[in-house]
Amino acid sequence: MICKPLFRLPAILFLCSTLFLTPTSPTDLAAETSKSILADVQTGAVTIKRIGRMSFAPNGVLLIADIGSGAVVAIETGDTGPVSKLKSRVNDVDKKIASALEVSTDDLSVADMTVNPESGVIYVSAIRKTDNTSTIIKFDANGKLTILDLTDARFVRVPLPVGEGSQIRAISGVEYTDGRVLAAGQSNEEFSSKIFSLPLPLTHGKSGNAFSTETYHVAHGRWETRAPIQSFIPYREGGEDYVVGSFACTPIAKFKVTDIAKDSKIKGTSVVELGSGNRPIDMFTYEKDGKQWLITNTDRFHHEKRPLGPSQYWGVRVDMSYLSSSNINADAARRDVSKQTGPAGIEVVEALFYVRHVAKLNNREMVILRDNKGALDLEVKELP
Amino acid sequence: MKSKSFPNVDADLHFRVSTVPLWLNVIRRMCGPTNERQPHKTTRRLYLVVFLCGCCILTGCPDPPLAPDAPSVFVEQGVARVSVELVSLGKVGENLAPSEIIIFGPYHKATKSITPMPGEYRYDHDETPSFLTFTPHQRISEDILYAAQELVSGQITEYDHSFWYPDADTTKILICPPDEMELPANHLKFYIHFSRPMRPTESWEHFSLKDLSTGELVPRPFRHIDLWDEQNRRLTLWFHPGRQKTGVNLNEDLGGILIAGHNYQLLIDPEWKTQTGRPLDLSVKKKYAFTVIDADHKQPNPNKWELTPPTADTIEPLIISFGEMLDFATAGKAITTCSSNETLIEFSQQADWDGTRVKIFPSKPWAAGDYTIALNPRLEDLAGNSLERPFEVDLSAEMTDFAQKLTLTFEIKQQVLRN
Repeated sequence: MICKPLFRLPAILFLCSTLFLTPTSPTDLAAETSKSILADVQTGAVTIKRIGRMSFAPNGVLLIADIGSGAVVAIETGDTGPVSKLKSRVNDVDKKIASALEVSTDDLSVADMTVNPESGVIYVSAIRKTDNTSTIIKFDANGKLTILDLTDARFVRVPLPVGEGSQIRAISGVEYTDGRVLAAGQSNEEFSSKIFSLPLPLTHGKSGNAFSTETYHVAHGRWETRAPIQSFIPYREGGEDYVVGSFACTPIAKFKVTDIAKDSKIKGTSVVELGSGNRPIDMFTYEKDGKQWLITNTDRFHHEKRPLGPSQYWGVRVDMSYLSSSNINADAARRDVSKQTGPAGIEVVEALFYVRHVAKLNNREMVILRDNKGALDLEVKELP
Repeated sequence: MKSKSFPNVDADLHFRVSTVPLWLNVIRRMCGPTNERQPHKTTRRLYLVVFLCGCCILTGCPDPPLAPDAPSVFVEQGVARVSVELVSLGKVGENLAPSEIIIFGPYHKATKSITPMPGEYRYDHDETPSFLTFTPHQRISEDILYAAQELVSGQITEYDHSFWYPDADTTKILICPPDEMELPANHLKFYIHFSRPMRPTESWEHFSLKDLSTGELVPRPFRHIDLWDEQNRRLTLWFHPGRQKTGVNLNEDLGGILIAGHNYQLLIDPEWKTQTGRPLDLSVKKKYAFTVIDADHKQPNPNKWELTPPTADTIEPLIISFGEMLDFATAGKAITTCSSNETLIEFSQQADWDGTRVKIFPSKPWAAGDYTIALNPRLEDLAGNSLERPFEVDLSAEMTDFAQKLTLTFEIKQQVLRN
């Protein structure tokens, strides 16, 4: 570039003022605002031994369960909006991911799907079976696929604390709630299951302040056993924070977040029964017409023996007022397994048949990853 | 058989061959891009290269930096021979005693600690030795995990005789509890050990359970969860707890998975591949079988355990026999502390594959005296009944305190010397 001396000074002044006045880039902004969520953020390659469930915390922070090492990994994605949701259905998502990872769909395992509500970008976690590589794939509004760069990331890794005995391996969920991150998981040795409360900010390599509580289930108000949490969500009601979750062998239960205390135990009591043999996969709540609803999709354990609908994958919405009910355990509300709807406030959601994963985009829409005759499709659907 | 090949001349040749591209690159950079306007510079660089090559030929190339090799373990008829190449240790190794270079003994994998066995150290050559070998005085046991550690950089080589022997081509499988056992009707899980890392996804799909008494496959017996160790070499395969628990909806709707008096086979898909695509050992077709007996709702009772104290001044293990099969993984963590006169003893522990015994190995020879061991309350039996509590607690029952005795004592007597 040729610049005469006469014009240099104004040019320099212009450049300086431009730099000064230019707003911070979304990435910098995310880095700045996520400071309260993450501390001692590392830069570089983030190793995920075996990827599992994912969810979003504010400011584009992606929370990941590393079930291979029993740790929670949080990545500053810099993906902070604005919202631009998926415009149209993406077919054959599994084939597209497999092609991007240079394997066949037989050598691909899709672990989870979530959506960043701040941007509408959809994130899919997957494992390339041939070399056990964990990958995160993004789909933008146009359905364009990109692989999240894990070789140059800003991240923290928080190992779940090892108590007496063995480390928790199978992390069945990781969720952000005000002031903490919750993670639930099961030991790969003794029959025990814990839910962990990780205080903010999540600090790289530090799990010292985390505490955990063992989770139990009581059947018929009589038989108490340790029980693993299969999936859960944080939920706020009447100024109190709750965890709404499901145990591996029992549908929906609720307990207070403050119950997660050192050396205590949580007894999950059934408040809603979906019918035996259903394994809830994802959960979220939304508000419609002033009413709170819970959506969950499940994998029916014995679909072949007792089919509920056309697929083993199906979903239901539940009026959240059931979760405040004093009718628990044997008296818990039971879905009428002979009908699509009933009792009032418990409804099978047609759009969730065949759905392997579902995530909330906003109070009107959800993103679904649906089994379409063996292939997987991504789509935004309206909430009921 | 050996766990790792001894170093040989191939490695050196491989190093020299692998450095050829490096040297070519150095020469290319020294020559730089051809610049026709300055031919004399290129000529000068070429002379420099020829000169340097000449120097290399006359004086020998500088020694490449070497990474210390992991120790090799070779076992023949129970006698172990551990060796480490000294050259790769560099000058650090020259000033160390043999016992400061290499140790070998029972290995506690969780803490990565080795209980060194006494034995004999030997150099292959007195003046300029290349290898240091160690031979333990005792034969090694086929049912204990051993490891050798090179102490300069800390590299560990594991050796598990009963697991790895002897075929290198197929992937061995070892199941705990072992084959042909009697298991309670409320049995919870199997530990499936593989000699190579497996693909750790949807593992339950590779298993099925056949009721030999009816000839039918048991529908959906396993929990759909991938519970692997960090190396993807041990899978914890769960029966669905919803069917094994009293009063839970699945149990009421479908019943338990196992029926007392029936015989079963646990079948593994022989097409299942390892992480690198290797096939499984075809002996998996032998069909792991077991017989089901009545459900077990009783906690393990340490009052009934049998302790076999070791001899003073030896590193023989203390052996605790449970009198029943306990959970293999927690049996390997049965002891939390061992102390004598309130002084903690360093130890490692190893459970038998069938979970009937645990052996406690001290890091130093036992002294005569009284000892106390603390038990892990999480130690549980095959049905999940632990020292802490039964698997299922009947809240309507009056009994609320389930904790079993959590300490045991034993005495090691002074050896009587005979003339």
